[in-house]
Amino acid sequence: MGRPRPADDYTANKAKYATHPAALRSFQKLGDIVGYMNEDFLASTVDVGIAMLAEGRGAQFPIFTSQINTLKQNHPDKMDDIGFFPTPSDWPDVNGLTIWMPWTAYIYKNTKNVEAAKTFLDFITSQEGVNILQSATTPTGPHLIRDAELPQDVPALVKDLLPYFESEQLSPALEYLSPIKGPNLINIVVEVGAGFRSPEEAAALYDSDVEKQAQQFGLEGW
Amino acid sequence: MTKVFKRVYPFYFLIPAGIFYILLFLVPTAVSFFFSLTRWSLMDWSFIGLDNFVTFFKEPWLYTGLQNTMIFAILTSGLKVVFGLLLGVFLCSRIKSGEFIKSLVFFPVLVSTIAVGITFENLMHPSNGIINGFLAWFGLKGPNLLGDPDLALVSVALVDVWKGIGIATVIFIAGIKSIPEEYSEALQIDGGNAWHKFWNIIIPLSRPAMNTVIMLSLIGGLKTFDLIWAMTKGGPGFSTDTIASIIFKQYQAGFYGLSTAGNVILFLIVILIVMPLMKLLTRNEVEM
Repeated sequence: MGRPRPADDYTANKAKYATHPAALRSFQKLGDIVGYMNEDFLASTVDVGIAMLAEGRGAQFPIFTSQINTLKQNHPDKMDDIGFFPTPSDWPDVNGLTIWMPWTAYIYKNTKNVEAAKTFLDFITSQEGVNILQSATTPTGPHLIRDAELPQDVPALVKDLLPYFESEQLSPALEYLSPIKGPNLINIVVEVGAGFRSPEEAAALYDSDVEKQAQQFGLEGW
Repeated sequence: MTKVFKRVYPFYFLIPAGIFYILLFLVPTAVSFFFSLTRWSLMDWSFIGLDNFVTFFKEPWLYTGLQNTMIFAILTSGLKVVFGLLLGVFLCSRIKSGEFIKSLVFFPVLVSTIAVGITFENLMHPSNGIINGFLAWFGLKGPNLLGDPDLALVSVALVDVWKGIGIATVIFIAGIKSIPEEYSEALQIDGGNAWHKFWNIIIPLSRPAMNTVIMLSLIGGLKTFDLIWAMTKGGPGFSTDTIASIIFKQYQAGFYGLSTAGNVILFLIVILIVMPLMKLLTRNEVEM
């Protein structure tokens, strides 16, 4: 099967979750987890999930690597016990990572102190500035700053990420590729993961949620 | 007119209140009716006629939301009437430490709804909560009160009753206290017992209090939002969504015109239910 590129078609109202094979697969994979979760998963918070991993009561938690800071705060001795892998793809050659982009810093257009602001941005993007940031928080992935280096002792979880960046097996999350996102996605995926609604039905329902969003924001082609 | 009915206050006395009423109530109401007909980003707007209303009625979870809103309003209102009346009668009788019990019943009213919601969310936790822990003591396996889509709405409604029962009780106490003693004396002379007093004096003559409790709790139930949001956020899935939480989610998503249209619809629903009900209820009140 070829590798689909859904984002642009999706924005243009041509690709639908209910009918696009890759998009529908994402809902089906969510449906596959039904029955494998802890009994009280609907009442479990992120802190509880991280604690379950750290204490060995949980095996896998599908979540951002940024939760490394929760792990560091609550279970600092378990930092190297926990690793990371992306959800396996149906196309093994593109078994890649979905990434959430890092924070950015901007300069206000009408500022009176352009030079000072530029000097500051130069500082926070220099290795010295990056080192200060890294000493305060654990990096959750590589930096988006050219030549900025990660510390030697990054946690196991972050080390697991790096090969995907080196081989460029990655894509930004759909939020960065398309302005379309339905407001009820959270509720719909909970229904699928809890087994209240079939993945196929949920995908069609999400399509209608997305349609409403696009119309409300007056996007073209909807 | 002025010759027959002498005005109590001069006209300029009414101006300050009138200005506040117009600025804070009439203008926003008119403005929201207008913006419900637009696609609105808070910065600019474009007129789209009744499209928002069409979109609102096409929301796939609207009917679950409507159903939940009705169940929630009727259930909480009914339970508040029953338990408020019983507590009111109980607290009006000569009992020891009556004042203390009164303040105990009223205490939940004074606590922030969000705090109550978060507290009960923890009490109702399926594995760590006190409620299921208590049941486990007797060897029973407690239900998942907030996680089971069939139970979650009722669980939240019961917490709402616990939280609001104080107001209902106070209204009933005032209603029962205002019943003249003569009726009880006449009943005693006729040889009636406590049950007769409850059924033939307290119930019919505390009717105005009962009607107030029904109206207040029904309106409160129809537009309920804060407790539901604190406890379940409308979930799991959409199983505890009410009209107000659906509107809130639309607002959160930046659909300002659509959520305003939703509020106009909620306003009409409340009026359509409450106005005829008020007429019906006051018709049955009796003279004391």
